Amino acid sequence: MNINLKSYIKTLFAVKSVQVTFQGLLSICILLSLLACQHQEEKEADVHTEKEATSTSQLKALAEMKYISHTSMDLAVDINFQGGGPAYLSVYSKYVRENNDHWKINYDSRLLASYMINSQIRQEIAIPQHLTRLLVQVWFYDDRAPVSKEILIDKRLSIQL
Amino acid sequence: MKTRFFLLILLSFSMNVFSAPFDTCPTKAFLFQARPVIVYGINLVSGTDAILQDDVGLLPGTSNIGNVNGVGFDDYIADDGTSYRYLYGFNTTNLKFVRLDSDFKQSELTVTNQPSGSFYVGDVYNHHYYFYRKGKGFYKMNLDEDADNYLVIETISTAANRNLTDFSFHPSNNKLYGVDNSSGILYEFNIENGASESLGNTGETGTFGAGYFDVNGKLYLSRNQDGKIYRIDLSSVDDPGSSGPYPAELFAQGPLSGQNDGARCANAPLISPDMESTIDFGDAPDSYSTTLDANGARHEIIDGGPYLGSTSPDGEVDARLGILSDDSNNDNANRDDEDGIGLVTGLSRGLDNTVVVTASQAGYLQAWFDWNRDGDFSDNGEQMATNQLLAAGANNIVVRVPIDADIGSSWARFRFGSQQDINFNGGATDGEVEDHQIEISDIGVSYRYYPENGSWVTLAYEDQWPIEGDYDMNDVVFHYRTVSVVKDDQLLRVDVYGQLIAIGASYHNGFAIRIPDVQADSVDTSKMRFKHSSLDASGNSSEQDMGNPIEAGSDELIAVITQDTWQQVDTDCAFYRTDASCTDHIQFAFELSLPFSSAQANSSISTLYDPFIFATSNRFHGNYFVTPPGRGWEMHLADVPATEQANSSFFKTGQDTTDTNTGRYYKTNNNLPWAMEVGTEWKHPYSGVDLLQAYPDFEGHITSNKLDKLDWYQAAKRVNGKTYP
Repeated sequence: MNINLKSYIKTLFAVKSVQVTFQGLLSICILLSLLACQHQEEKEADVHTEKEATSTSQLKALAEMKYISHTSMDLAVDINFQGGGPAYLSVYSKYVRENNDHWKINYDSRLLASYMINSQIRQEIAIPQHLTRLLVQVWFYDDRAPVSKEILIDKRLSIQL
Repeated sequence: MKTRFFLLILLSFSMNVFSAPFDTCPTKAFLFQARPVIVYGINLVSGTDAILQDDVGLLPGTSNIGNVNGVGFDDYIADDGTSYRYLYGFNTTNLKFVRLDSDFKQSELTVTNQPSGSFYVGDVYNHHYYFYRKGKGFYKMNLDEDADNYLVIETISTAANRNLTDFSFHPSNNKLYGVDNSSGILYEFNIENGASESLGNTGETGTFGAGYFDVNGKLYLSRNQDGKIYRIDLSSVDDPGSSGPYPAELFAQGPLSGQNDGARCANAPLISPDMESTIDFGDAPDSYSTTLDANGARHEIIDGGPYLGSTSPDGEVDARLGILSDDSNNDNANRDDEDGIGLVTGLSRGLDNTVVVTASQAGYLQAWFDWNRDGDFSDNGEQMATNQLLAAGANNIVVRVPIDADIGSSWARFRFGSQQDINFNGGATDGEVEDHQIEISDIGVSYRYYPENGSWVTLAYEDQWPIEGDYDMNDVVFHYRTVSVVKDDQLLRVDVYGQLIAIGASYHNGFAIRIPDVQADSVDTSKMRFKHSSLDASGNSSEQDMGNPIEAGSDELIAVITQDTWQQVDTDCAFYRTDASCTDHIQFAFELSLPFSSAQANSSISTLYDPFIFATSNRFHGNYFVTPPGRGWEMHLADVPATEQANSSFFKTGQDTTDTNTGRYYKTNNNLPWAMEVGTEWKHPYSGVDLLQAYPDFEGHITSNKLDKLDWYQAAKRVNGKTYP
């Protein structure tokens, strides 16, 4: 509501024909109440604007805030279906799937490299928080072709290849 | 008659006008060969050649262009700035002394006292042409047109007993050097009296028809029979105590040649720093022969030529070593072209491991692995691929790691191109070299990288604690990466890498890393490695072994990387890499490897471990402190406890609200930090630019308690013009 109540009240008293009656007093009270509401809205609007900080020092964080940018992930991989190990597990963050279903991998984006003696492995890895997906790839020490799986990052994940 | 005379004058004038001298001291070496002579430009770095001129023109009164030999480059500029940079030589067919201009067009010199016969050995120094023939003599003539003895030949000596096919002037000491073809002995010639002194055997014989010097005093010899280019280091030949022999090392493979001669402007470097380089170098430490000075592996980059991976290599003036390489984001214009090798099964001892090598086209692969980690590729059994033909695309090659290979970090080199039989060092005419740091391991070992094996996170510190800073988060900035080597859930080793990215403060701070819950005496110091890498303003890189960084007097394991970050950089700017108007390269990096004598508990495995800054001893650290606070002043990431060296009296002063009882450290009343980790190679704000001005999403990230705006620090979220590029 954007009524110029002050002007309206001035107008009322400017009209000589207005008689100070009970009804008139009631109108004035209502008008004054509306005036108070408008002021309150303006005050709330001011508070809302003041909340957008312009400098870091104006921020207020929670006490437990940690200023680090990584999360951890508990990853379990099972290759029993592939006939088990020995094998080598790698986890990458930069890769592209090409038209022929081949994974083109940036080998400098490895988060984990691990020898697998048995069919299963569990590792905890730290991941930059802006990442959402990773590629898990397992190579074997024989003629078996490597297997790959893209995963969504989660706190704890078990996959079967 | 007048018309003919006028035409004659005009013709003579036009000949002089078009006989232009060289306007620079060129980096190329010139090779003159065959009859009629053809002039080649040789890139000594790679051995590639190109025809510069196949028609040097007829001399007046002759019908045969002829062969030109005994050529030398005159790098002479007169006092008035006039260039007299020409080539001088001898036309062995027409028996004439000639001058060649910048188009390699020959013109006859009318000389006096010309000796009979032909001359194949010559060079120029101080605007004089010197020439020689075995059994005949050693001569010179003045090339100064204003001199009374201009083109008057003088005999220096009639004693000429050395079997030379070329000699060359050293750029620094006015002496001539040549190798006797039959004996391989290097001789130094006195140009005043023609005396020659043996400097020992170079180890190589043959017809060295072309010789060249570079500005650093290195002599290059091209052997006619096989085109091999050898280098002899005479840079310190005049140093006290310096004596031969000076061995010839194979430098590059050039063209086969006959009846040839060479000339070069000796005052030029091999690669001009003022022009875009077309040479690809490796990145391994220089003990592996990486820089040009070490005759490092290098390849000429050819348009449409072969390379590894999907990114063609970028040129470098010289190798930048290790983690200061141009591939480590040290120049925004450069690109990471080390993308051709995938060690997909690691390198486990005793096993046949797979390496995926991606080639842009068919070509030959050579590969070396430093199995015994002694810093070179020259031991038996270290070349694992020899002339292996690759197809375009991904190729799986099998590498058997010796059962007795030394466990730990090492290096491998991969060279790919159209040439076969190239060594781990020396030049190649096309292709690419990729050097990769490798891990030789036992079975069962895991490597946890943070953030990844080839990238960085960023640590940003404010150093005015306990006073609240200006939140430009650039007082000390490091790129940072860790590797945790784990077996059976226990910590075997921690590797840490870092680059100093910025110093946006005048205070002096050191940088150290604590390994929490690990004792200082847990480290196997015999296998520990700690290196500094440096890059100077000219782009010359160096590496230093820094000995033991473990802080004495601390029970905890604390490795001090540097006592003072300001000592690691050299800048003309007020601050280092924080000002828009003043830029610098990244100049300092470190590598730290801490293997443990016995495996450490699982609880000691971490991500960042504990990197922190501390005040340099005896240096002013703000008016808040009456005396320099020194080592007792520390700044860690928020809520990371101080070390045993910290001065706890600084807690709860200023804006600090540290409460050691609750594990609260280094936060303000608003729970804001003085240090943070950012999960990428972050662009820090310019000096005085508040973090929120550069990265506005940081606010939402904090006010949502890290539930929102997880990517607040990414490139797409930063405000243009607010961060250091």
